[in-house]
Amino acid sequence: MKLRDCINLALRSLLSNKLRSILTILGITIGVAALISIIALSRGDQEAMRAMFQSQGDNLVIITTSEPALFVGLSSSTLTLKDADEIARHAPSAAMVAPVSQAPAKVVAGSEDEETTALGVTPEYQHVRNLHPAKGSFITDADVKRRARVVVLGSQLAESLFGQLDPVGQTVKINKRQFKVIGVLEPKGATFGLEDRNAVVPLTTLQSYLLKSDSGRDTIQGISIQARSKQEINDVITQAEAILQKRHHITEGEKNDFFIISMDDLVELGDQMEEMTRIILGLVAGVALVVAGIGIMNVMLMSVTERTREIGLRKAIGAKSKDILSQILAEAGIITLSGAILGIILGYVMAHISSIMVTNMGFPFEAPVGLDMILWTLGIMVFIGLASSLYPAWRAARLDPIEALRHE
Amino acid sequence: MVELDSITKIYKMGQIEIVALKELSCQIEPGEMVSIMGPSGSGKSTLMNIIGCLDKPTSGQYRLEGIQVDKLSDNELAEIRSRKIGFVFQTFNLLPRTTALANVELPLLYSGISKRRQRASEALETVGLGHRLNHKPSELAGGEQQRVAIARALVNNPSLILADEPTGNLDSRTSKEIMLFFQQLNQRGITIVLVTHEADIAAYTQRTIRLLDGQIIADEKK
Repeated sequence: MKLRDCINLALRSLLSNKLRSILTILGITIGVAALISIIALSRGDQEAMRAMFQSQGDNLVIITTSEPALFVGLSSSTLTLKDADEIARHAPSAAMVAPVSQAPAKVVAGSEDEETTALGVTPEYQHVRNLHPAKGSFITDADVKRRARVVVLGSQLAESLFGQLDPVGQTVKINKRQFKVIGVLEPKGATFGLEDRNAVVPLTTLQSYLLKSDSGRDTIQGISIQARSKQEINDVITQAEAILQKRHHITEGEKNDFFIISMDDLVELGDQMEEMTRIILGLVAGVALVVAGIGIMNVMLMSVTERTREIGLRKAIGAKSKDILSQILAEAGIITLSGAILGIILGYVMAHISSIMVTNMGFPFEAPVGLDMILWTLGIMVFIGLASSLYPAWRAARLDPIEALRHE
Repeated sequence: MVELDSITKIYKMGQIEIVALKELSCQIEPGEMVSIMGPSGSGKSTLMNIIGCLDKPTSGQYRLEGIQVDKLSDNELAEIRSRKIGFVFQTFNLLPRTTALANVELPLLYSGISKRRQRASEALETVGLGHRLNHKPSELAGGEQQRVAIARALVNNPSLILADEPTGNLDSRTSKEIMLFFQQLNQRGITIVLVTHEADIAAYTQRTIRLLDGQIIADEKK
């Protein structure tokens, strides 16, 4: 029997039980759509995370006081300005070192006020952390030298204080002292000691005007370091760690009182987490596919039993076992492939709609459905379709025509 | 045409052996129209299945048109069935929800013959259903359904038509029509073997073979 005849036969028999065929296809469609959209979303998530980490700065290494202080925290710090100086002086692989100090700040502009954290930084911070003022300029060396009361506002802070107005050149009050707004930062998302809600001031200004006691003036909350090259990231970590251990009198085997990590490590850590999430979600979608496979088997078994007599007749008038086998396999194949193709389309649409929704919420996001995913899914589905219809097809093919014709 | 030489067929039902045919021998010549009669359990269905190459004898030899078929594989038997034999059943066995034309095309599909549509519609015209090509079995009367089945049996130009109680589900008037039609086919040279337990149906044939307990007890030619 020719392939075309075989497919025609299969189509005719599927069409003679439309509802059942459609429901089986639907089961596969949902399973495949779940798989496709989950993988696409998880890939998009991973890309977004990588982009976010990478936008933090090139070859960036961050030192903080303790692990949880990845985000702005006001825990007492063991890091000092002198630590940062020593690293800048004695770590040959460090291209640029930017110490960060911080203080709680109440920022007032007209009738609006915001409770936030002020970051005290040097001009290096802009380059190390890859910051771009959306308006105005960043803090300069001159500002640091003369302890200028100037402030660069985070994008969110600027918006809540000034709305649509241009804040550059305006005056705000931070902890009751007047500051001149010299710039507004581009939005970046909250990460590693910097938020869109922060106010950024010269380090010296923060020490002189915003920190309350003299005792804490030399204390800083973090150090951002740019390595000379990607290859030297690990050297920076080793060198900075050695310098800090010596300065903090930490002997070998003792726990560090600081925490040091590179963005590359974080990307890797994120990738691992993402991979794990993807495996777990993939397993869930896999269960859906197995259920769909069982559905195919169930339907094919039922339809073979129902058509026992018909199969007997086909054999009596000259159908060979392999003709019957290929008809049943073709039926299952058509069901599986159409389910898979519809599922891929639906999955693509779902991933696309989700990306649009997430993007509209303010996080640029794309969930790409790759050709590799489509091919993989088709491959898996062909396997599931074959595996689940092989037994029903075999049962149909080996039916004895005499017995089958007697079947009621 | 059909040469049966001491055919024995034994079925095993668990521990019990049932002898359905006992060293049965007979010959059917090309162009004959033969009826096989006998009470239920006499082995006439088994004989039909063996002649129709649906079943293999336990022992003995069967030659169909000179080809020894008793040792052939299932696939080879399917091939023989598709090229040499046309079946007509008591219950018609048409595919439901399928047009008369598609039903008649079916054997051609499995024998790989082209111009299926044309040949199927010709066969339907032969049985007088040229105007019902696209009717489904449910839209046809019993006699018409059996004619579709006969067209299906004819479409491959078989040398032998086997009919198992072909009039069993039909009223007497339709039965007569169908039997007259079989006679016409026979006159065109097609060998016909039919199983029946009705004497007036057997009366349409030239030769009647009577079976009892798996053996031929009478072989009458008119």
